[in-house]
Amino acid sequence: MRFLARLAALLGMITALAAAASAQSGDGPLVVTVTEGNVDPFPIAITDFIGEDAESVETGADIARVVTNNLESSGLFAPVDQDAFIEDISNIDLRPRFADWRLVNASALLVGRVSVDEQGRLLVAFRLWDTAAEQQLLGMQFTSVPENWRRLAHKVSDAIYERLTGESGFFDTRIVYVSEGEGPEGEPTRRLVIMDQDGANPSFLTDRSYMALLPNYSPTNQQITYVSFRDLQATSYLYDLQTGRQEALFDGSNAAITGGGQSLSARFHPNGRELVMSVERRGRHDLYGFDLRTRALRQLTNNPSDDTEPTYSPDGEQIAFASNRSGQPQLYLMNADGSEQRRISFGEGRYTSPVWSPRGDLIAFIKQQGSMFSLGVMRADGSGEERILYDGYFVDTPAWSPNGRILLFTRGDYSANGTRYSIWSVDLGGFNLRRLPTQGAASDAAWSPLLD
Amino acid sequence: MRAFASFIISLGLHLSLFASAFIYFPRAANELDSESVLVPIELVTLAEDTNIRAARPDPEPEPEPDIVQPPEPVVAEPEPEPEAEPEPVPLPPEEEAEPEPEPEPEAEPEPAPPEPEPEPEPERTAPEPRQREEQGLDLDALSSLVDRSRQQSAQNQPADEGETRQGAGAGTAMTATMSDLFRSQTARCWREPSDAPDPESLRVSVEVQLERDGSLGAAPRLVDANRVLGSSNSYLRLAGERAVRAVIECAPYAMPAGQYQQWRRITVNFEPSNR
Repeated sequence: MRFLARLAALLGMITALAAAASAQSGDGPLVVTVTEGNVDPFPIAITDFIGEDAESVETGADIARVVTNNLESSGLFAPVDQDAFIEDISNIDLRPRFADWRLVNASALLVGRVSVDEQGRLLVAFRLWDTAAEQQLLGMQFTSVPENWRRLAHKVSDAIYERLTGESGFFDTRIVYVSEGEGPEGEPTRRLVIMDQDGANPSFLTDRSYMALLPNYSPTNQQITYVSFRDLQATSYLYDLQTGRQEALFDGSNAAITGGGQSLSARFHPNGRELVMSVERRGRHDLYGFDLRTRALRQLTNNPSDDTEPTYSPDGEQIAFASNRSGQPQLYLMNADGSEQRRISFGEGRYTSPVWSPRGDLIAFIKQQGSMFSLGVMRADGSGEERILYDGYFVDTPAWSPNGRILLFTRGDYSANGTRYSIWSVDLGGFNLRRLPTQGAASDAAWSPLLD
Repeated sequence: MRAFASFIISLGLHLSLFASAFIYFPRAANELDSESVLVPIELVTLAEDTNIRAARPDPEPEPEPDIVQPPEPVVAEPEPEPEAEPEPVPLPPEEEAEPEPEPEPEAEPEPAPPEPEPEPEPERTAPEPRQREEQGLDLDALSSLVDRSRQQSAQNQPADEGETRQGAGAGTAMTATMSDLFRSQTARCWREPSDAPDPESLRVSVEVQLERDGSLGAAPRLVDANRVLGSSNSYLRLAGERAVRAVIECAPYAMPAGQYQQWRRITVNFEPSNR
């Protein structure tokens, strides 16, 4: 009897399977679910901006060149070679022949025009087209004095980047870094240099009479902090890049810092009006907040170990920092008032240099394990796996692009006559590794917010 | 007694074989017809279940779905002048960052061989004598990194791109379902937003109508277009645009003409994930 019961069960199962199979062939649309696509760079055709006179034509070609370089260097775009273009754009107010642009595999098309108005101001107008949907994605114009054509090109780049990636651009920005050289007597020099994000227009900010290190950019305006090092004394400075004025953050008026105290690595609050920094007193480092208007110093951590390298979350509510309170340096999180301190890194090795992403979701860090240095990111709440973006002989001082997509870092490479330092960028996926076009040895980059 | 048990087992097995032939095989016989259909892409046959051998670089050149359309006459439709004049960007003259004017000894002893760094911008005006690049890049280290990232990105390629193919199903044959057939052709053109902050929230669907030759019968329609394209989340707006673009750019589709009724209308769900 048992056999018969099993047989019945078997027959029932077969019937159910057949019923399920027949239920599948309905009359509705075929449903297809795509879960994996490509992450290839986006192909875009960038035509030379047209102009009425020879000068405008030249400027138009220059702008197209800067835009092309910007978009390509981001790693997210693949500009189509201009030699492949079929249609010659002569009027940006007419619909382009989309089929011509699809033929050269351009998913988007940028056309633009340069003109000069009666007051001698430069007028740059452009349209961005979707060649598949045959629709205009963006149409804008910018004006400025002719000398600013480069910044207009960066603004055009930012607008396109934002339209096609959904996040804000980072092209109309500047980067400050430390240029490493030698003085007349062979002594090492460390001077701050500022340049456009793409390496253009570099100039020195400090002279060689003292060492300038560790610049940090204000997220709201054209100010930096940096550490000057002279006579074995490290002092935090605030440098207003618009006025050229700089001031020591702690002069004789602040008894907490003077008297053997040293301050390091002051980073801005997202509001740009406060700083957080580590201060060394009596041989140990603690974290302090500092209000730039009231000059009030507020102690945030107080324990016998070293708490260093604080960095604010973009909402200003939390601070991440490095501390050796559990032996080796690890990363910690606390509320902005110093409460609820907790550890967030638990991997092997030394974790230092936390820097909070402007997007808020990630914290970049440097990890040292044995003789290997790594640049990595982890989720800001410490959950999930850390992700290593680069590792090498020496890696230090991560700095985020203002949109949180790219990281700059100092890279040291071994050579027979000492370590050579340069600044590199890498994207969040660990791809698109590029050397920042600095002159000579360079380290300690800081990235400005988008310019106004 | 033992013989009787064997008889019962034997009877049961025979009965079940008999019954399954009645219930299941008629449908399977139908499917066998479609299994003989050759599809001119890397997947060759259709079946109820996908079953694909994994493959390394596929020697067969992938048929390029060229979208050759007759060039449209240029409609001299004057577009409205760029409506958005975002802001008249009165860019201030560059006033920041003046280098400190300091007389400096011009001769900088440079120990390193003068290996001129290619100037990024020819027209740059140097405010001070520039140091030269002291040492070239470590090209070996760099290229090894590039290689590494190439390999990594190659691993990230979608399954059916031609160069590599992951196995699917039992991995013993070369068959695919109709939806896998379409998916493999769309996925190539889809730029997935896997690097957006919350990719799981960026799911969108597109309704597609196909002609018998695999070309688009009508412009693809984004499901819930108002919600997606009007969203305040720029990533979602973009996900909608990218889904439509993927369907357009990968047309025409190579599908078995005999089963046209099955794929005349397709709903494509684009479901990015965090990876």
